Amino acid sequence: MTSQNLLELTDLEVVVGRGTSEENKILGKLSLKIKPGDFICLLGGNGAGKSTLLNVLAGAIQPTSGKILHAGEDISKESEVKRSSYIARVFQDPKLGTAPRMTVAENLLLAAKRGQKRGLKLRRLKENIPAFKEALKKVNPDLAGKLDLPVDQLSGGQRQALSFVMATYNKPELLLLDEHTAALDPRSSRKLMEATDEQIRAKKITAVMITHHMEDALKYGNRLLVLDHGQISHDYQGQAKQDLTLQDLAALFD
Amino acid sequence: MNLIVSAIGQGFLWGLLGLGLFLSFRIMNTTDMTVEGTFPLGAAVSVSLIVQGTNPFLATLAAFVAGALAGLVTALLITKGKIPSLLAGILTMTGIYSIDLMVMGKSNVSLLGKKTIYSLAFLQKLPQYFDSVVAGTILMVLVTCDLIWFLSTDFGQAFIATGDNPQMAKSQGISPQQMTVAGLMISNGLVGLCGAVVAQSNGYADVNMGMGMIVIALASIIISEVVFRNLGLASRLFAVSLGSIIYRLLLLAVLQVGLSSNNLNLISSLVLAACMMLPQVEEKFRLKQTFMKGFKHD
Repeated sequence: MTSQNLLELTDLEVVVGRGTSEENKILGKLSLKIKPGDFICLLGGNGAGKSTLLNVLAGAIQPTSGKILHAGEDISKESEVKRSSYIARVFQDPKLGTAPRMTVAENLLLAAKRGQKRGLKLRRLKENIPAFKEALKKVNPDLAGKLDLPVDQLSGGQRQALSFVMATYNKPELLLLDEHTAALDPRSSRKLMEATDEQIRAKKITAVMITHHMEDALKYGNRLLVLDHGQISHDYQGQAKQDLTLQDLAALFD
Repeated sequence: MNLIVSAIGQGFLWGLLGLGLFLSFRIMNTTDMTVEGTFPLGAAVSVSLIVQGTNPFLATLAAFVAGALAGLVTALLITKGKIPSLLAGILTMTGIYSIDLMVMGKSNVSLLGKKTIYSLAFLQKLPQYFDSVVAGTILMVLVTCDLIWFLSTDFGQAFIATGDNPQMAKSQGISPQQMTVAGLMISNGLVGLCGAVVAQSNGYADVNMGMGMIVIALASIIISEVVFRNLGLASRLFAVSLGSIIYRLLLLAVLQVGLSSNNLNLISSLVLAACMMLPQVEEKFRLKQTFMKGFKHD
């Protein structure tokens, strides 16, 4: 049955400006099965619907029609806030993933309680510091010494690394990466991408990653989806993905 | 001397207004106009209850609850009604004016001869004007410590994060709507409380006493930020009350120079505008560097 799939998307449609002359179908009858342990790279031109698909998965956009099954339950109407207990996300914009006036440690503490009930108990920051340091060291060792710094004093690369650590601190069932290295300089971008791959493998996280880098799409993940005009035009899995070359991919976008 | 003591006492009492607005203006990043209505509402509710014979402490507590309910109305207009926050506050503030008249039955109610929170025996033994200083200090410390505690709970941290970055809050499972409700209720509760203690200190409640409250509240926040820079959150909360005292002393100075109290609103606005423009002016003219040069003669 469906139980071996983590998420099952059936005939998802997202239409904006319905009933007007501006009507625009961003996703059209898209179906996709995400298996536990999948690390999916999502490739596609501008306007292909990559970000919309990610937003639909996160719950930030409600699909116009279609179903999203999670553990056999339709979650297509469930809010972003509710889904946060099992779906985590890193945005492209380093500013979106963190609270700027709060310190690195305070941000991590918020993430450590992602999707949990937050009551009137004292936050207990100090007890978590060693675990926070440990988690930061694995992704960006510089950050481990900056736990008490407000996040707005970090560089973009450090903020993005922090966002990534926050998203994976409690292992999510699904991790969404929306071009999370795109806003960084080449060196920071490469370092974060390598750390991302390492963590996803080590923690066996199921992930969907949007990227514009064909090299990255080839190098990372076990599955590659190409999106075109709101539909999946190609789906390479396992061996088929490993056999792909840069030329093959480049040919798709000509 | 008496005038200065009185100004300090008033500063402590009015500091509650600054603390209330600090939650919405600085933490939630919204300008909540509701306070212009909540302040007289707190005054009207407490004074009316006291006149009817209610214990003044219960009446003061009731003012907090009334303020919180007004905050709830604004919060629901924003979250459920999707009305922009500035307008939502103005709607509630305007509506409350009528409620105040209903509560009081007339536009001004006096507390002459009634027992207030300042009638406590130990406050009565103090020299003149020191009662509001002592009562104000006690209230300020109580409220500030409660706020510090609240903001360091899991809920409070989620509240701060939401004001900082609502998108991030949502992806951490924090509902920004829930935080708006909680924040505006606490904030306006404090403003209602402030209205109650100020009215009892003045000896009356007046339906028009809310006029300009937002400017006074912002003035204590901004003055505290200009005078005491780079503070942590806990010290910042205490500094807001100090800002309120400095503001009262400024007003006192202005009155001593000979300006009439009719000019107070104009002066308040000018003081606030000047303080808010200070960072820009400073940058433009590099005042800081100039000052620093003036001090370093090596």
